[in-house]
Amino acid sequence: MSAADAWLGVLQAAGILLILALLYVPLGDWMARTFTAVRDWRVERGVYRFIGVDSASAQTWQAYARSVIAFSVVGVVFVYLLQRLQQWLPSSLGLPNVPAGLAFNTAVSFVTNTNWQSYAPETTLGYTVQFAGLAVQNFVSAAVGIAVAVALVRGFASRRSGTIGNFWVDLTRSVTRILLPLAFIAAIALISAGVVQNFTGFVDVHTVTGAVQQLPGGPVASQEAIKELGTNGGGFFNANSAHPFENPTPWTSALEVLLLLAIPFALPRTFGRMVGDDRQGYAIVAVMGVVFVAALIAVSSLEAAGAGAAPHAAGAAMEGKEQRFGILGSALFAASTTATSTGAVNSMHDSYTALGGMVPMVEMMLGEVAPGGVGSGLYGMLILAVIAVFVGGLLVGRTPEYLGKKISAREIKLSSLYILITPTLVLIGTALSFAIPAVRADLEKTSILNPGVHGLSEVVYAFTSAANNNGSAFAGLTANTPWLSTALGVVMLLGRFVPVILVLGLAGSLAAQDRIPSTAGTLPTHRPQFVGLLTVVSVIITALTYFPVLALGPLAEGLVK
Amino acid sequence: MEHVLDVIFLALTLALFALVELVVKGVERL
Repeated sequence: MSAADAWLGVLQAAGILLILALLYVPLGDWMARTFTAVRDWRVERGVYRFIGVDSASAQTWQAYARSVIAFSVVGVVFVYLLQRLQQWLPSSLGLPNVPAGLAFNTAVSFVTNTNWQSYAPETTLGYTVQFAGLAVQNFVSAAVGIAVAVALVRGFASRRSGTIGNFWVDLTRSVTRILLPLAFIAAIALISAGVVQNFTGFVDVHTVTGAVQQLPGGPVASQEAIKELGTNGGGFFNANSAHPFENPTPWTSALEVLLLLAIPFALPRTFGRMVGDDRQGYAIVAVMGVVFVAALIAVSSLEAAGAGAAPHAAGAAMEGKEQRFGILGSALFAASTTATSTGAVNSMHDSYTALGGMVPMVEMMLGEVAPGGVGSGLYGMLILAVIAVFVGGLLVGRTPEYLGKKISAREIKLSSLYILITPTLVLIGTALSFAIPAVRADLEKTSILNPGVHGLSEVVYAFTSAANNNGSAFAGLTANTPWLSTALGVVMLLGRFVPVILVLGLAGSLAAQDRIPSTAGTLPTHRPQFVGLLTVVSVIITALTYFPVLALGPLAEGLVK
Repeated sequence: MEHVLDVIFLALTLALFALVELVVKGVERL
């Protein structure tokens, strides 16, 4: 890689971080106003009338949780049926019904904000399924994440309250006031930069050699915008953001990175505003920023220094990367897509160097909290903050309290269960894939492209991506098999909704408490020391949980070769 | 065969969400 390329890459990343810093206050404040405003917009009142909701009434955490469950059950069943009935739907481009296992996997995937795709979208799904099923879920699954995070923040902000807000209001406002307006602007920007937006279906093109090639069109830009903004990640095309119709230039690639980081990095400001102490938001965003920049530097350095004959000849590890994005444009996208719950890719993570590919995996294993998915990143980081406050209390004899709320046994049990559920799903899912003889035989024969330690990494990556609702893949793994479709579907669903229930339970527990005044024994949670403690706690929890499996996979591959 | 799979996957979906509902009840008693 030339010095000029290196400087351009650094400037691109620095420019995006600068824009994110400039967006922090206005976007974060706007989201805080969205969830504290008393007045409903006219369109929102229409929605509430249609679904029979009183927007002035608040819900207990149990009612909030059951609303999330009910909404999501309907979402999964609806998207499943759309796919299974595709051939009879309009604008389906003559495509057949989606097979049952794949339809289940895809329905769960999009409702859980994972957007794992075990299929080639352009040859599997018609426009009706893409629009009425997947694009709708891109908006509402992101809105569910934001709603749950806001409910937890209300738990910290409330005093002796039995309620944590109204799910239907939070859901609706997330869509009408945040996601739809921003996605509309982003779609126009993407169209202006060359991302396609049409309904032409497949177009026959005569190549210079006289052959006929079919080019797929479609409403790509509108889906691309919310795909990034809602940290969804499901591409209109199989190659995702490496496809020139989705992401034609380095400029659009930088814009897409900006879009997928914008809301997660601004939500700590919303948190600070709503709890009445902006400094708390700065502390949370500082931890997110430190971990994100460290991961970005790690993956960029490892890919730029890729060892071996082919990387040496190409100047760096260029396999699986687009020339128009280069090493650093690809590494920036990889670090951002796995730091959030997006999962879109502009390069193939399976082709990364062993240690370079481990970095995106570790970012997901951190729980995607730096900055994480829309909503899920903030609530994940706040759970870690509760753990850090508890650990800090044990270390220095401080009173375990956070933002004036006592961190008692109930809060720690809920936070600990939250921390444990995702690794449990990842490790048990991976273990079962190799422990059941018939499954292992099918996995090795059908799914794993690269046997040996890299094959293990492919399977670990898949379950890590599914349980953390990321959706990116080590694409060497063929996942459209009965075992992987079903197992990954189960892991995605439980990996999304069990943590959500624990978060809402914690919100209810915190909301019921009064806020106690801070004393000399209170651990300050807005100072650099707490930023350091929270960063260390996040990394240590991940390291202790996943080090053995990383040692068997990417570490073994990277250190042996 | 595909209709049988439809029933299986829809039942699996409902069973998984029922499990999540059980988590709600578990958290209530925690």
